[in-house]
Amino acid sequence: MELCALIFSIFDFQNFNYNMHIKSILSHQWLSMTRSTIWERQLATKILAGFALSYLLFCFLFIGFNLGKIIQLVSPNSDSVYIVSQIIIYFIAFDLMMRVFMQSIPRLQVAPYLHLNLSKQKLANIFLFKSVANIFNLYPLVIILPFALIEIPVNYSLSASIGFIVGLILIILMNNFLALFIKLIAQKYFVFHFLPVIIVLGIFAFVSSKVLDIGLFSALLGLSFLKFRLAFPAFAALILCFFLISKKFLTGEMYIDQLSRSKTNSGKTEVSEIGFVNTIGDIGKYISLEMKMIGRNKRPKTLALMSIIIVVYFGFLMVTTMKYQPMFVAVMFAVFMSCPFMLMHGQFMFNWESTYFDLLMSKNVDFKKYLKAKYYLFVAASLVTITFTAIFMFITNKDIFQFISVGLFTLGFYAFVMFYLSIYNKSRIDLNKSAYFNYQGSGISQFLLVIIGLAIPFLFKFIFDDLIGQSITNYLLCGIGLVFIVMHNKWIGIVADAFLKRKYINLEGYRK
Amino acid sequence: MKIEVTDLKKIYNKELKLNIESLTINSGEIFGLVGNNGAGKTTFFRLILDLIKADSGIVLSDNNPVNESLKWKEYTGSFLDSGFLIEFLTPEEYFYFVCELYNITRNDASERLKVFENFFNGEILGKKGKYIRDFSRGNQQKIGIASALITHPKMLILDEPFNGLDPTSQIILKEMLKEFNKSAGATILISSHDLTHISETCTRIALLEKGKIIKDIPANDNALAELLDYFGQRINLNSVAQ
Repeated sequence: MELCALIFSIFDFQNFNYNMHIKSILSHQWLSMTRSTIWERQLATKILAGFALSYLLFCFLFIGFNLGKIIQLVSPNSDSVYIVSQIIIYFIAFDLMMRVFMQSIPRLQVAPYLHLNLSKQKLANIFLFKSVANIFNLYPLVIILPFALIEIPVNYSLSASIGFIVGLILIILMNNFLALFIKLIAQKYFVFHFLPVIIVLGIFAFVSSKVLDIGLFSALLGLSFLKFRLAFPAFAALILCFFLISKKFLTGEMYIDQLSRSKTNSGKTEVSEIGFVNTIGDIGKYISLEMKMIGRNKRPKTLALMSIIIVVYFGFLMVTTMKYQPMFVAVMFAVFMSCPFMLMHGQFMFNWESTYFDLLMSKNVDFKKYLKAKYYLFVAASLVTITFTAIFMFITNKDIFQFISVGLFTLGFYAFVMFYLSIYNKSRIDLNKSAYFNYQGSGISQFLLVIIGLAIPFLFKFIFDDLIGQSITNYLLCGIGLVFIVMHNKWIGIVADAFLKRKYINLEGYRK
Repeated sequence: MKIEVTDLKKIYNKELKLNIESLTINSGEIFGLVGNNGAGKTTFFRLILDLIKADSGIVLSDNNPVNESLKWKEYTGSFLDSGFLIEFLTPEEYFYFVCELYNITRNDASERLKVFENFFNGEILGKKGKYIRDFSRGNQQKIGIASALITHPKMLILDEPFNGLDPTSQIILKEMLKEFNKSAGATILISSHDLTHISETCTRIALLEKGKIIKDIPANDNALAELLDYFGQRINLNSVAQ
C-alpha cells in the first residue's frame, strides 16, 4: 500500500495530498476485497481452496526451477534460453487472449468516489494502477523467475537474466493494459472482442511475410531483452501508449450511468416468448422462465455457452489424443460430453433463483412442477449434446455404446443425485456478475458434485467391467439410467419434499 | 379470510425478535402495523407467509396452519421486498407470469392492469425490452404492489408499501386499497412508518415495539393523535441538539 503510494507520488509532484487520498482509496479497495463475502465460506471450502492454490503454486514453481532440465530432456544440447525465447511470442498471444476473456476490470469501484473532490484524471490513474493487481501479472513471473536466475547465468551473464526478467515484466504490463483497453472498449463496441485475434494474426502475418520465421523473431526478441537492446524502449513505449489510451477512454466514460454493471443488453428480448413451450401446460411457463433467466443474465448465460465450448474442446481432445483411452478418461469424456449443460448449470441449482425465491414460495407455485421444468430443460439440452457427440464419435470410430450408456446413466441416476444434493445449496448469487473467477455461491457442494458425477460411473465400471464384461456393464448403466429417466416423477417428488422440509434454512441464506 | 396468531415467537441471535401472544385479524379488516425499525414488522409478515420458521406458536390462515397447508397461497397476495421481483423480466412478463400461476389468462390480466393506469402514470407498461431491474426503486415498488393486487387476493399483505412512492402515488395507493377492501371484501395487512397514511387507510392499528404488540386500537379520529403521542414520547430532545 505504502509502496504504491510512493510510486504514485513520483509520477505526480504537484499534489502531495494525493498521497493521502491514494492510500485511503487503496485501503478501501483492499478492505472491500478482504471483507467480501467470499471469505465467509465454510472452513472446509477455505481449506480446499488453500490446498488447490498451494498446489498450483507448487507446480508452477517446480516447472520454473526445472525448466532448464525439462528442455534438455526434450531437445538435448540446445540452448534452453533460446528455446524459451522462441516461445515468448506465443506466450504473448495466448496470455492476451486469456486476459481478454478472464481479466476482470476493476470497474464498479470507481463509482463511490465520483462525487468527491478528486479529478477524473486522478481517479483514472488510480483505477489503472489498481488494474495491475491481478493474478495474470503474477503467474508468468512465478515460472520464469527461477528459470531466469538459474539457467541464464549458465551461458550468459547475470545482468542478462535481469534483463530477461525486466523484459518479461514489460511484456506482462503491456498485455495488462492492452487487455484492459480492449475490455473497456469492447463493452461499448462489442466487435472489439475480436481485436486480440486480429492483432495476433496481423503480427504473425507481418513477421512471416518478411521471410522471418516466427520462432526466430521471438528468439530475437528474447535476445534483445538479454542484451538490453531495442526491445526495452519499444515495450516501454507500448505500455505507455496503452496506458494513455485507456485513460483517455476512461475519463470519457466516467459517469455514474455508464458505470453500472454490464448486463445483457436490455434492448433485445432474445428469449421473449418461445411459442410451443407455453403450450406444454404449467410446466411450460417454468421452462420459459428458466430460459429467460439464462438468456438475460450474464452469469448463467456464460455458463451455458461454456457447456458448448466444453463439448467442442473435449471432442477435439478426444480425437487428437491416444487411440486407446484408459477407462477413466473415456468415462470423463462421456460424462462431460453428454450432459455438459446439466453439469454446469445444475451446479447452482437453487442459487440461480435466490433473488426471487421468496416470490416462488409465497405464490401458488407447484414446486414439483417447477423442478420437473428444470429437469426437462436438462434432458432436452443433453439429448442434443448426446446426439451430436454420438454422431461425431461414429465418424471417428469410437465406442458409441459406452458413451451413450454413461450419458444416459448421468442423465438419469446422476440427475437425481445432483438434484438431491442441491437442496443443500443455500447461498445467494448475483445473476449478473461475471462467471469467470466468480466464487459467489461456490462451496464444497459444487466441488463434490463434479467429483461424484465422475466417480459413480467410474467406480461402477471399475468394479463390474472385469466381473461381468464391459458390454454387460454398459447395458446395466444404460438400463439404470433409463429407469431413472422414466421414473423422474418419483425422484423429483422426493427431492421436492426434502427441499420443502428445509426451505426455511435455504430461504434465509438466499436473502442475505 | 381471517388470520389467527397464537403464542408466536421468533428468536434471532438469542433475542426474542417477535413475541405475539394472541392476535386475530378478522376478515375484511384493513390492519395497519406500525413500529420503529427493528420492531419485528417484516418478521411478522414473513411468518404469516411461511417464509421463516417460528420458534414457537402457530399462524392460522382461514383456520389452517400456514406451515402445513398450502391452501393460503391460493388466496393470498403479497409484496414484501425486492426478493419478490423477478428482475430480468419486463413488467408485462412478470404480471403475466404471476397471473398464470393463478390461472388468469393474458387477456384477463391485461384487463386487470387497466386499473393501475393512474398509479403507473405511463412509466411502467409498454416500455419495450425494459427489464424490471432497469426501473427506479419507486417504480419497482409499484410493480411489486401491482403484482400483489392483480390476482384479486382475499388476503393482501404489503410491507411498507408507501416507501419510495411519490406523493401522488401514495394517495392513489391509499384509495386503491380502500376500494379493493370495499369491493372484494379483502383482508389487508400493511405496515408503515407513516402514521398519517396508516391512520387514514386502516380500520385497525397495532403498534409493535421490540416484537410485542403494545397497542391495538381501532382507527378512529383519536388514533393519529394517540400514535403521535406515543412515538413523540420517545424522543430525547437534549441529545439531538448536541
